[in-house]
Amino acid sequence: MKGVDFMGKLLTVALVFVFFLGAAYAEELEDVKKEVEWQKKVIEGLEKRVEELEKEGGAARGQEAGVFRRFGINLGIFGDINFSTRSNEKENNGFSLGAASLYSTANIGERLNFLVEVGVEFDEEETNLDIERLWAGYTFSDLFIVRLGRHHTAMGYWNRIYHHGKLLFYSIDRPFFLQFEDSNGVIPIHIVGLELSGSTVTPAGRITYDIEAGNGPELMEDSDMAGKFNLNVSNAGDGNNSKQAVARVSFEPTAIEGLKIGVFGTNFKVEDSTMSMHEAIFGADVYYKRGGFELVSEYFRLKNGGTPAANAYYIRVAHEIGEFVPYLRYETLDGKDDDPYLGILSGGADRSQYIAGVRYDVDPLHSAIKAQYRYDDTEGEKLRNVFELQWAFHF
Amino acid sequence: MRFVIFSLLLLFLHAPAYAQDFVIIVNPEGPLVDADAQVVRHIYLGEKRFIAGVKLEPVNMSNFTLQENFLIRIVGMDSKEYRLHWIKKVFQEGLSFPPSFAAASEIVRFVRERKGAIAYIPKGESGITGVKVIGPP
Repeated sequence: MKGVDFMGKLLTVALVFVFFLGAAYAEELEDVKKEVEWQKKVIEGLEKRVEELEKEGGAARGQEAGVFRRFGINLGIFGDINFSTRSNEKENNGFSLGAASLYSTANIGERLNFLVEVGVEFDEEETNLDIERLWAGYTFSDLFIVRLGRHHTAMGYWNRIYHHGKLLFYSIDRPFFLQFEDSNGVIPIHIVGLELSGSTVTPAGRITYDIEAGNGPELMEDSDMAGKFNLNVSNAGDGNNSKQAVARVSFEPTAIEGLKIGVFGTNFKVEDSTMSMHEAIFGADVYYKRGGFELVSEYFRLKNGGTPAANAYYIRVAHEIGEFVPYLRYETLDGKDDDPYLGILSGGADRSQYIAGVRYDVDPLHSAIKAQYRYDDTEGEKLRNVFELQWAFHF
Repeated sequence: MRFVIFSLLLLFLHAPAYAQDFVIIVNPEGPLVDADAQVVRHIYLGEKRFIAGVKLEPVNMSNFTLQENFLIRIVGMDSKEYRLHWIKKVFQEGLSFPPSFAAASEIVRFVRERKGAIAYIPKGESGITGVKVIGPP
């Protein structure tokens, strides 16, 4: 009996022990369950966040794949380094730094965009910093874009496509009469004011228009040529109340792939203490590219008052052969001796140039080496044969 | 004989690179309803930027073969010419280069999230949901 009693007590103690043990484990299991639930919520939160970050990161990666997108804006520099034998522009054989063009563009939202282009220019005495372009734009639709600021005038093809980027064109420099205002150009290249532009695609082709109104060019005395002037477009105001107007319409026919044709014109007033005149310049341009072949030509007619009109034009042909692009260009300015506009400008003398050269693309998007021969037939100048080399780049 | 086998082998290896086909996709709620070749070309050149007030957003695929195939067939330029065109466009009009993505899934997600988006992805790609296939023309 005693043994049975002992076994009973032992069993009771064991049951009590198991009961307490079970209770203790149940409590611990409940804690573990709570911990798992909490961990599950944390993981769900993290998964959601990772998904959000992937979306943001995906869009950002897409943007970075663009050419220059950094810090949310596009940044870039065009530059060139040159060697030239003696010429009408260079007194001695030698090397020279071309202008460095620093530009930045930004798109804010769907319709606002901005552009600033600063040129660092070097001459024998000093380094100049010029605002080449600076504008703010708003796109209402493809047909109606408004920009306010300093622009390149819509005068022909070259001035609207290449701007200050020498890597973008085959030859070493612009046609001489299309040089910038401070480099003896005779066509107003810049304008400060309002620009309206737009384009529409029709079954017949794409039609583009540009209309500009703003401060026209003033005359600035040329320190290198006594009694002569250069054109100058002031950023800080206008020298007179007369405004310059520019218009251009171009057409790209669907039927002839690679062809663009345009007509353009401008009217402005230039004056100094002794005279005042209205100048009208109008013309046409044609661009054609098929396979590796490329042709571009522009014609300008310069007219003022009763004097006979002056003519300026160039024609350039080029053909891509792998990395090489040989090219030929003929350019000329022909005015009457008594032309009052060309007569006062430093670059207004009659002149023709024959240019033959070759460009080699080290990397077509970033670097090219050009070599060219130029026969310069300028009225009153003797130096005619010029050899030039250029390394143009962009990054 | 060895030359013939070598040439056939080269042809065999070369052919798939150019045969890689694509489909053009858009956002189903966007304004693009069909793949008119001229319209798609102008969108990818940045010359057509709005339809019915909606900003168009062309997207490129980083895959060189597919991109080259699309650009030559639809835009009429190879990738070098296309990039040069866009450098001029950025420099001239202040626009931004169209974004590129490496994976078709990323492109599909981009198009799904943007009303005016248009893109091309490899033909036969699985898991394309929430976008509308409108081409090629």
